[in-house]
Amino acid sequence: MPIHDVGYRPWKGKTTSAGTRWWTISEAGIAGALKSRWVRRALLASWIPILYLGSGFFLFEKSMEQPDENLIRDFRDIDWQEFRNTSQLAEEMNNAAQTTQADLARQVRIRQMQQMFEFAPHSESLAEATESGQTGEIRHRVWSWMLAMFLGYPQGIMTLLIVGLIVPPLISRDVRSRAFLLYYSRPITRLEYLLGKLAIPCSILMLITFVPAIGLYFFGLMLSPDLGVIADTWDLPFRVALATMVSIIPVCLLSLLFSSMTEESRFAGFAWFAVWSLGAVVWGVINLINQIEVGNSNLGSRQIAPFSEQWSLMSIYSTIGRAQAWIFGLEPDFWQVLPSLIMLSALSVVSFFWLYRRISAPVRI
Amino acid sequence: MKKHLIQLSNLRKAYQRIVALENVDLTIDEGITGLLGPNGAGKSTLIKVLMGLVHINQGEGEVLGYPLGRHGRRIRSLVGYMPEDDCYITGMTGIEMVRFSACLAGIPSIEALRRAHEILDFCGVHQERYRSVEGYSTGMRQKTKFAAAIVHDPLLLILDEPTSGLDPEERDALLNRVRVLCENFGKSALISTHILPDVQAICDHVVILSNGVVRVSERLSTLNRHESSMHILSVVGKTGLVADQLVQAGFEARAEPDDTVSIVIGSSEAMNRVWQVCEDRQVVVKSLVPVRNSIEQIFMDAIQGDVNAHS
Repeated sequence: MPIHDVGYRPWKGKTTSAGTRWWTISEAGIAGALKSRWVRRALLASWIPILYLGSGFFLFEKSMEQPDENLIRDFRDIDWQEFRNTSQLAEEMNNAAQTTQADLARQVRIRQMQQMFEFAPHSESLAEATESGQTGEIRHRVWSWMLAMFLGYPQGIMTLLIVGLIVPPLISRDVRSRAFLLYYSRPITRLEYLLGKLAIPCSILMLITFVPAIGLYFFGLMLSPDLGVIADTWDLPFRVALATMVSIIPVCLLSLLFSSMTEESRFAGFAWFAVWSLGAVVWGVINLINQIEVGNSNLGSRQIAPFSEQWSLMSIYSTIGRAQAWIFGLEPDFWQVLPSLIMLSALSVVSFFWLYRRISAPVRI
Repeated sequence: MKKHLIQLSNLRKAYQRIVALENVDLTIDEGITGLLGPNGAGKSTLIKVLMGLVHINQGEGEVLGYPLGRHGRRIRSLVGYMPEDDCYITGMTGIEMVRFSACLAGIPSIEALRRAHEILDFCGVHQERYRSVEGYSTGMRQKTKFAAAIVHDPLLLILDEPTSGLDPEERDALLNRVRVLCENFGKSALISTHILPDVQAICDHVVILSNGVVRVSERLSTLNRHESSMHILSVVGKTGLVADQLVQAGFEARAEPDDTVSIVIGSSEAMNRVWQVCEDRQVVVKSLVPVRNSIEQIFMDAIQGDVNAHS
């Protein structure tokens, strides 16, 4: 039975802008990806670490205002006035005590921060930051550190997982169902097709990296004592955006390339996880051998910092982590990070051109 | 001055060392044009060239008044293309796929939904439109592809094997839809097909490609007039006797198994002599008609010419 039977009617409406057609592909792709229950679950799970980092921001801001009430209260309970009334010496002692109180407060703060993040990479950098004494500088370093950790660890793993879930079918299904001609016979270009496909994982990954990181930043601002904090940390949203791009673009291009190389989504998914896990394993083994060679005895220690290892280029995950650490100022030496940046750029460029060639194949022959 | 729908001049397209189209000079006017040719003749390449999907190596051309090469996007917005392959967009229902095609062509989302429903009704896809296209039969997929091709109201339809996989009833229905679009709504169509009766049934113009070269490009009515001097005589009585009498009168004639006589009549005078013989022998003539070239014959002649040229 017809549903809306009015026969054929010409259409004379106003068309949408040609520059936004690629978003039609993205919209359809995002809607398709979100139909999967596993993707929805993974997205939900990827927001859980925000609670942990949120509490980190909260504790840090609290420690900046009230370093350790018990210790300071004990310190204040000493009747310095009695000494002050007796002699000049007492006054000098009082001054010294005031100074000591400030020092003590800072030491407590450092200890708190170190305890909070004792097992995390770059904890020594964090300790140095907290020892600088300038509140603005400490806050900037600590917030940078927390945002870098957030993007690098929980979200880095979730990125790997979510990309593995959503990207493999994106182009491989079009290859299998020969849908390219349906796309290319419309007024869109191959580049727009690629852009539309690329925007699908990028949008979803932005939802689990950039958006919550910016949310954390504003959460930190709300907890802060005054608006001066904005002046101290204004650059962090830009660093977050850059760090997100450094992570998302090569990852999405590489995964789309795998997707374009097969008709079977599962092969693309397998290749994706294999590249990441093999890279991590190879890097781990080389790192271990390196540690043995230099006679480092604390192999099982948590003090091994992945971002600072010379073999990190073997692992995409570590390479991205290193670049992000530099963006957030945790890795100050640009020349140390340059190979990672070159590696990521090369990976992106090669993936892009190869991918473009793959998706052009159906109209080349 | 009349504007041609498609105009190609000295066009050449090669894929590395393989020449797909060579010196193609072609003019197609409004109406329904059949594009014929054996496998590997260059039909698909010609379609890709027309849609601006591949670059040409030589020559020039216009589609709907837009030059090839620089206006691919504009041309594709005015063309509705139905691919030959069994292609679909995985994970979408029929209505989603047609709506998606409309959105890609620039129709706003809600408008696209309304339009997709209208077109699917026009194409005879009813409640099945809510099922995933992966589960469709070949015929349903053909209809959905056709709907996706016309959803944005294109001026020119390029249909690649539109009736393959359709049962006779659906085939007639689809050809009728094409005819309605062209006759009532001012569309034009270029139909690439191997099914010659489809061309005979619907096309105004025929283009035959072989080995990348245009062998025939002519109006079908003109081609049909290109008969030989062969005529078919139908009479009351024994055809064998009539054939003998015509042979005795100096004609080249033969009795056919279908109770007709085939006879070569080369001139008006010869025609008069035939009537004279019939009058003299008191033969009752039921009909005397020239043999028209069938599309099969035209096609075979074109291809045979190509084979002869290569042998």
